[in-house]
Amino acid sequence: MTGGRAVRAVTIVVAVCGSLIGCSSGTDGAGTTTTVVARGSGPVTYVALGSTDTNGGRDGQPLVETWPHLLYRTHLPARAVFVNQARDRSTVADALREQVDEAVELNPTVATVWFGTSDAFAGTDPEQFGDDLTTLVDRIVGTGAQVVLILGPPPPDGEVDTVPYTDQAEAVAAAAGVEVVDLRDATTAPDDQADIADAVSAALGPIE
Amino acid sequence: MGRRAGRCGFPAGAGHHGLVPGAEVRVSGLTHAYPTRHGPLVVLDDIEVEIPSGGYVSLVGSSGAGKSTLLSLIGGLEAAQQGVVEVGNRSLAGLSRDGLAAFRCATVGFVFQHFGLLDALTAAENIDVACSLAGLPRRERRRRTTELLAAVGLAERADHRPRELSGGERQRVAIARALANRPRLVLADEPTGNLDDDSTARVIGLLESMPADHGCTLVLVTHDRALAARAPLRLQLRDARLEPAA
Amino acid sequence: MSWRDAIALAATSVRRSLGRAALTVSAVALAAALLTALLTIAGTARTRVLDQLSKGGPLSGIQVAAAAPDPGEIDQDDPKPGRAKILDDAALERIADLPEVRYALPVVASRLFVISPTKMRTREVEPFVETAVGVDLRQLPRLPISVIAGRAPSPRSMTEVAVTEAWLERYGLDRTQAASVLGTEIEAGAGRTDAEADTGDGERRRRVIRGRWMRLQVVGVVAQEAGSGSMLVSLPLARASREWSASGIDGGDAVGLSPSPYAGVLVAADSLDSIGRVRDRIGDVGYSTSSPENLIASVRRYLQVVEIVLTAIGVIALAVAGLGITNALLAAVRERRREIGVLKAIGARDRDVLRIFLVEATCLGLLGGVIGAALGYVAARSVGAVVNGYLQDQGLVGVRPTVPTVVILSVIAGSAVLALIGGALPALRAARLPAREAVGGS
Repeated sequence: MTGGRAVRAVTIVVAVCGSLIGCSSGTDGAGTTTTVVARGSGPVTYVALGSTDTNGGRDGQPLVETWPHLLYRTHLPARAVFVNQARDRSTVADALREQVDEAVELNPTVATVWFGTSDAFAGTDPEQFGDDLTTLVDRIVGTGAQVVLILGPPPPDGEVDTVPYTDQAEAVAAAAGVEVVDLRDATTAPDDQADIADAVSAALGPIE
Repeated sequence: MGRRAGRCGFPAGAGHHGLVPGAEVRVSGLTHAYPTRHGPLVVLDDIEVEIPSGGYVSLVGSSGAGKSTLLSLIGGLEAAQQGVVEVGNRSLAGLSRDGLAAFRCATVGFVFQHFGLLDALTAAENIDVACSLAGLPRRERRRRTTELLAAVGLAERADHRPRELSGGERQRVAIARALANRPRLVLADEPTGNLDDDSTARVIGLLESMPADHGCTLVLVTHDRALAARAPLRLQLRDARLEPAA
Repeated sequence: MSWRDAIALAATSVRRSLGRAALTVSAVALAAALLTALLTIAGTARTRVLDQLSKGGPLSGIQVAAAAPDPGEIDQDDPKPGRAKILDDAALERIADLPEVRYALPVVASRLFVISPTKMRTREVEPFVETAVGVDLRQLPRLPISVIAGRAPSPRSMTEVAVTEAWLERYGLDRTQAASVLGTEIEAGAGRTDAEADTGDGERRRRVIRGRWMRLQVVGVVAQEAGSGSMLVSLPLARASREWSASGIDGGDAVGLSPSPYAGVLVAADSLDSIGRVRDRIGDVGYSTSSPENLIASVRRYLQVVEIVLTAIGVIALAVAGLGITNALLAAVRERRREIGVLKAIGARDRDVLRIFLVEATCLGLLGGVIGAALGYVAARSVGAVVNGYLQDQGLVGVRPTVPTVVILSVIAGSAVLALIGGALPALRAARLPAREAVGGS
């Protein structure tokens, strides 16, 4: 190994070791995962925008056991503040009226966006859905937040077809350059709240 | 050099370092009674007596006859209830308690049967108290005390307390104290009552020398008729009346 | 007879009856020691308590409520407030500008939904709503907050909380277990009332409480009287939570948030004596106040009464000792009748004899007073050392009992005076004895 490569190797080793320093286990509650302990001092605000799937309405869980809350509790630094803006049966159009303004005011550091099923039930035009979602995502991205867009699975009883909407959402994500958590394949995607939180966390990466 | 009135305040006799003219004693119509459960007990009934200046008088009588009472009245230890007592041409009638104290301080020297010494004080200190009451300055007091103790032959016992002295020695200290204020009248109440013969002789000798050596009038109360007989003037009290002794 | 000779004679009399004199002096000394010790202890306690009260700290603070005064409760220490009233920045400024106000610190209250952490549980505790009290923790020494375990939150922290004993009781813990909750993380959310979108199917708008969640670490257990709530947080944290709740469509009413920006104000007056006037002025501004004013006044009065009682006890003891002197001297007069008569026979006046006996009594009292004051000093210091040990074991600041010179001098002088009074009767009796006692009484 030449001298320059040796230096680079040492640097990488040191960086990896440095990133592992300060790992701590999560607090009580569901699941025990590793979270990077906050070394930063700036505020961390997590805002969840969405519909019934984000509000715990689908399975009727208590709000504090929904995947956004678990994400906040176990994957974000201790200083993080979390606001769940999601509302049951909210379409993207509803969210533009009722969720986005306040979400922007909160100046989020991290944001999750999950729409589609309610729009499918509401019969929203998929293209309109896509346009509205683009507007929503752009506004959130405009705050500087790290955004994760979730593509949800279809309803288990197949009442409505959510594919057109999730396709639109995927395109919006690609255009906006935001991370995607793909839960469309019901056979392989996690459906447990904690698992969903883990998947979103993986998409976000470490937040310090 | 005149004699200072001192603290006593009572006019003192003239003379100093020399003979002090003895006080003349005149008693007239003196009657005295003590209250008892059974009524007043008259101990002196219309007593009349004149004792010349520088005289030596003995007074005898049975126990309880009133001898000590007469001595107290002449010496100003208490005020007469009725009658006149004059000592050195001054009447004691009407004198206040302080007045009588001043009279005693200036004029009288007492010698008691019980010696009357303060047990907590030495022989010298006992005399010094009398000198202090007489108003003598401190240095004068020391000199006078030494002189008096020497006069009674007890110079070497100055620092002894009464319990360290014999009866005769105590009485001699008492005599020295009685002379501290250069009295014009010395009243001795049974001075040898508690003494042996040798001490008696010595004490009587000292007392009898007073009129001659110090010029004072001496009244000696005694139950010892032999001692009483030595006095030029002899009186006796019987049934509250004073009469010449046999 | 000069005073010097009287003193000399008195001294010889004392020496003559040394045993009796020693007993008399001992009685006076014990009484004087008791009086010295009691006065010292009472004085130290008073000084210590009033020092604490007069520092202008939390104990002498005035709490202003976001309410108008109730006319029927004006003079109470802790009056029931009248109707609720907005306490905002303008009111805070008016209060802070009042004369004799040293400082005015606002108190912000927010309502939080609390999720119980497993670690703290010794019993199952459902999530509950609690009031979080926020104060400027940079002013901690001035606040009615005492730390039982751990510490108070940092003044600007958004992630720290201190809890109270009431909080511990929820979990079946007591004060002695306070340290066990330190380091625990809790979740707390401020609630805000939002309106659901009209669904268009005829359902009326449905209100939803939306939470702003925080994870807070318990850093301390405190006793606090800044506001009613079992959570103490920094002012920024309380403000952020309160603003979130107040931004709801009902102004926070559904979560029990008061419309008043401030839940109260903590005011310190310049001195204990100005508390009443400051309270009156704040009342004129239109707000209800409470302070331990009457309590402080009662404490002061009580301390004065305690001091008076203790002094009286000591004086009574001295008086009893004085009676001992009377008794001893009366006996001496009876024994020395003839001696007194002889003194008078050789020229002592009544007042000379009076002087001798008064000097004797005063000497006994003076000697007893000096010995007693010294003993009392030692006793007070010893008691102080014991009390110090106890206080320090309790983690409190100790006391240093100081024996003021004026106490020492007063005790000695008092002993002498009481002895003089006690000796007056025997001295008068001796002075009135007839000189005839010299020849054996009347």
